[in-house]
Amino acid sequence: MQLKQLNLVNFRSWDEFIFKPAAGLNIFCGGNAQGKTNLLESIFFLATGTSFRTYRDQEMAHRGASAFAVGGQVLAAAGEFYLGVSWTETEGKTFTVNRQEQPRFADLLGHLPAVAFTPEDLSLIKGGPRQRRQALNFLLLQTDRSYYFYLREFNRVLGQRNSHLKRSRPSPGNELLLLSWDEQLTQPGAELMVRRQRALAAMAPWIKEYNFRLGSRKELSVFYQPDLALKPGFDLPSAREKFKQQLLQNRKDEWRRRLTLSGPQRDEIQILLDNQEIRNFGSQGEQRLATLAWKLAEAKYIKEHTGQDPILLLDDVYSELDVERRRFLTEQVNRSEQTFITTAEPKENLPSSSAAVWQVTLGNIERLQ
Amino acid sequence: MYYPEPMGRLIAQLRKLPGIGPRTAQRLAFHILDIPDQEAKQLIEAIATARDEVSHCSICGNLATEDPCNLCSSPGRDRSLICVLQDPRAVVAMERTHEYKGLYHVLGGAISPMEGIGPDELRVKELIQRLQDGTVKEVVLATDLNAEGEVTATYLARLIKPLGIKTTRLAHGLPVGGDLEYADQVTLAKAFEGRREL
Repeated sequence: MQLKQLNLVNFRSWDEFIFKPAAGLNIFCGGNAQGKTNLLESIFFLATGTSFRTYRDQEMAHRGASAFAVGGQVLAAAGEFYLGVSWTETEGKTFTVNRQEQPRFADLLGHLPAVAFTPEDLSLIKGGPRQRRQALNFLLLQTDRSYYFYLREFNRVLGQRNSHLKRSRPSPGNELLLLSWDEQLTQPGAELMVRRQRALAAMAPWIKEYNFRLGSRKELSVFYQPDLALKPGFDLPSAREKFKQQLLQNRKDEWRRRLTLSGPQRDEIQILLDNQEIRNFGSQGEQRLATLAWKLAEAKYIKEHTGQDPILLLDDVYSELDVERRRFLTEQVNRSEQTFITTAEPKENLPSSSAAVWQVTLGNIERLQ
Repeated sequence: MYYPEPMGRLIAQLRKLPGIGPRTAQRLAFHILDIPDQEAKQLIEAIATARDEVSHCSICGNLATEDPCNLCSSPGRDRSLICVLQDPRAVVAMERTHEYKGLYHVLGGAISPMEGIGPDELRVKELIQRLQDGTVKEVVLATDLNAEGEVTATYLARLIKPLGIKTTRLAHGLPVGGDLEYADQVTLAKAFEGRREL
């Protein structure tokens, strides 16, 4: 994928802004608070309809404006098209393809595959299981159309089932109803588990490999740990059967705690460095490298599953990397179709490459190299 | 605000209707003011009459002007077959097919604990009551194909089967005339699950 032109209207510090990035590697240099990360954020917003910095879309609007828009001329394998995403205070978010409004906003994902790495992504390693599940969900949402359906279905049924446990008392009628909800929950639940297992099995060797290539001497291993005791390589029927059994086993506890106590909403992804929990035993540098390795593996996964090279958005990625690792990373991203990196480093400290280097200063951008 | 008070009130009332936003409400209000007196009176009268005369059939729960409704009292319908639906709109859709000759039972919704709707809020007891005298041989569960509709169907099937009555569910799958390559993966997967022998 390649973004040939980026158009911003009322986005963050810009009221109007047009930028024509280069193919390959683009590096945004500049001091703090000059708008480098805002640029990455706008591209991420165009790709996903969300921000990696805030849950509140309103925050992306320029000085309290009631609407903002991000648009871009995109070069994909199948040809060029114009993608637009806009937000208004009253109508929320919509997106257009070649200026045609699209009916469902959820369909935006997949038009412009992108992978972002920001300092906050360290929570993938340091945070709780929820952060890791979210990262995996997001990857699968970008690559698997059915995953969106099953995730939505699962969350909806889970909410209904929990509501049933909260509102009613154990009685023969309510047991029968709970059994009906089990039936409904286990089907999308099993689909999620099988898909998560498959994705992580594909990602694990790549993550290990990228971690080495980025200069680590330790072995990084990633395992899917479903909440249900399933044997590795499980299939759909066995996942569903196990899920049903587990729900039945938990009956008493579930009625007591009024909550669904097992299922993919409690899945974990284990990340080990030389067989030790990286979140407890890894250094800050090792954790950063592992996060970066995961993100590069995500990009590879997207490429394998969609046939499109995703755009890489790497925020402040050079800090905490020594000269050699910077070189490794630059070599790595040079192979992808288009990458955007922000850095506060002066131009002289950047690894030499054929990159387009841009100076960003308060709403302005100027090509240095 | 900028409108004479009665006009503002009309717009506010129209806005309460489902699917009507501020702009549509405004357009409708202007239209209502523009139409001839006679037409406006007919609209008022139609609303009042519909509200006065249409109620629910005490047997099937469908909209009706008489009780029992003309579907329930028609001698031409097959009394051994009941089709269970969520709301009266589905009855209209089924009737349009001209294929179905049995009776109906309208639940008035689907089970949804999040909205506080359980079996007691639906016409489930009335359905079980109708199945007691042995006339009904088959119940077709035609609730919606979303989570709530499916759970309602599963739950009803579990209640009805012990009575020795056949329960069936409408098939879900590919739309007729649809090309396989354009069907979404989930629909295709469901259609595959429900495949039948030829």
